Amino acid sequence: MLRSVHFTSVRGFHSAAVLSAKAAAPVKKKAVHGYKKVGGGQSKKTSGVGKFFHEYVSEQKLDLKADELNGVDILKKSTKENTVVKYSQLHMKKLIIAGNFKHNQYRELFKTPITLVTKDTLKMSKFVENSIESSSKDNRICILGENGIGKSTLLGQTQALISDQGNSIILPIPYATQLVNGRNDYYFDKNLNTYIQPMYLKSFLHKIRTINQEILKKIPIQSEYSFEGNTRYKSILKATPKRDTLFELTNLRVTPRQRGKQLEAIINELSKQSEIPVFLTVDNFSAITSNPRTEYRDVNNSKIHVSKFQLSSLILDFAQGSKNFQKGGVILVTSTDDKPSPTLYAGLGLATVDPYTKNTVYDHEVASKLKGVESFDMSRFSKENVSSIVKKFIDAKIFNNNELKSNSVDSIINQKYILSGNGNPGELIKSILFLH
Amino acid sequence: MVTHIMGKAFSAKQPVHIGLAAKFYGLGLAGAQKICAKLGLYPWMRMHQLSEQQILAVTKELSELTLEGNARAIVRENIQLKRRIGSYAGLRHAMGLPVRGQGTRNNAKTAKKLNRLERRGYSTLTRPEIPQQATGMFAAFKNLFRS
Repeated sequence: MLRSVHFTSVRGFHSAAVLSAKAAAPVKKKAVHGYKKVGGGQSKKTSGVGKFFHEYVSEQKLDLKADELNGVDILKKSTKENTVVKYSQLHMKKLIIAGNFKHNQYRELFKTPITLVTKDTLKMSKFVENSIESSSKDNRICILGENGIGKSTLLGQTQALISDQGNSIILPIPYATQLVNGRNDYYFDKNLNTYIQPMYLKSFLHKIRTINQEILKKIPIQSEYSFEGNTRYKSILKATPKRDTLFELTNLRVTPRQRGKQLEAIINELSKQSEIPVFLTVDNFSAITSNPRTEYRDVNNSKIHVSKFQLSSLILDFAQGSKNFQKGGVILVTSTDDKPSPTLYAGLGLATVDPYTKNTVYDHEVASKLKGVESFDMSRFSKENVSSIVKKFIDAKIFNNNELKSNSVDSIINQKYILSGNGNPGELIKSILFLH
Repeated sequence: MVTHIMGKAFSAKQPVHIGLAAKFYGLGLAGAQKICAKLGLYPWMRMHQLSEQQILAVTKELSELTLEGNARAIVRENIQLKRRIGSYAGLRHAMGLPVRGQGTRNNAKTAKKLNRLERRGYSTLTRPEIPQQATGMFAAFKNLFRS
């Protein structure tokens, strides 16, 4: 009776039929360990048709049903130009966690996604080689190119080449749009004097920890740090020199509001050490240059500038070179999803800006931070590149039979080269998949 | 799950600013965004993510605004004032016809629907709906003599 009185007198703000329902009798279930086996058990029927085609296809795990393509080597530093390669299991693990694969890349066509080594790949391979021995201030690059040219794919190849080095750390930001579009929480940290995005930092720290797990364990920390704990039992969490490594520092379960402090400590430690190269990779970087005034608003309801956010400001500082790793590099990748902005091109020194351009169009603060960043314009596939890809697609039986019967391979290659707009890889794949 | 703010129920996954703007008469998207900015709610925060303190804070902010019945009363008073002083706009309102020089040869449907002394306020309100006011010449004469 007392219990019922207690519940009726307190009215919650959130309600649901589930919450007010009587508790069901406990059902004993057999404990299941590990992941559910593919094809095992009955699949639950769901509609799934409410999604867009790309989302639907990418979430159906069609890659597991695809045949393994024989005669494809694994991507290595020594791989020659115009060779179709695949990623190793370690590459795949790291690239998936890093969020490199996008919905529109059609990786589900193959069991292990294939990729073509082009002259751009070799150039990035040289960039990685140089970066391993020199400061990140000397190795700042921004990859540019038209829609579907393979900018994100090249970033994936670069990340795979970096992970092949063994002793290198990757700090991946796969979708910089998330830093400015107002979809993550934020608050102003008075101690750090910046805005922090705890929800985003949680996933970012997780990526750093899981991708670089083995290497982080080799780096001892040099300063002592203490944070508020997120667990009931530990109110204060400490990382002390001589006892803890960088892995322990990234693995601390701090309160969401302390994540900014934790990230700063990690970056501080990575900047201090001089043995292991560190690579900061940012995909969709153009979101920052196109939207310097973010969707976030301060208490006066005015838009907050991107430089006032911890992570965005960190990216810009590393791009500028005012902060740097003793060994490593900064790889920025643009996207055509974002509206074209003179800020990026003026910052890279590729265009001049009319002095009367409005502040809303051109952001001088952001542009000035991009000075010294090398721009890298990607080139389209050559006819030989198209030929290699088309032959692999024929081997994988992805081509339409009627198309193969009615045309010779050479004529198909010629057709696809023209249909792909003289070698745009994205258009090439679309012309193979959707034009019949 | 449903979240309740000032007696109104919101779907859990609805963004806070959109939900507030949709459910409260007198509050638009800009006003709702202003409240969110003041309270430090991130722009695309969902209803189910609001803590109880945040809901109380939103309620406090809403209670300081002119919303719902009060906002409707202002519109009604303005129309009544125009009618009372005998202005042309007041007359047109009473006749249920367009006020700002629009043609009446065809359609004028929005005006026929909305322009009346007791203007309808779109809402989710709990009070009974305003009875339909007749339109047309006879009705216009009838309405002219209403307060």
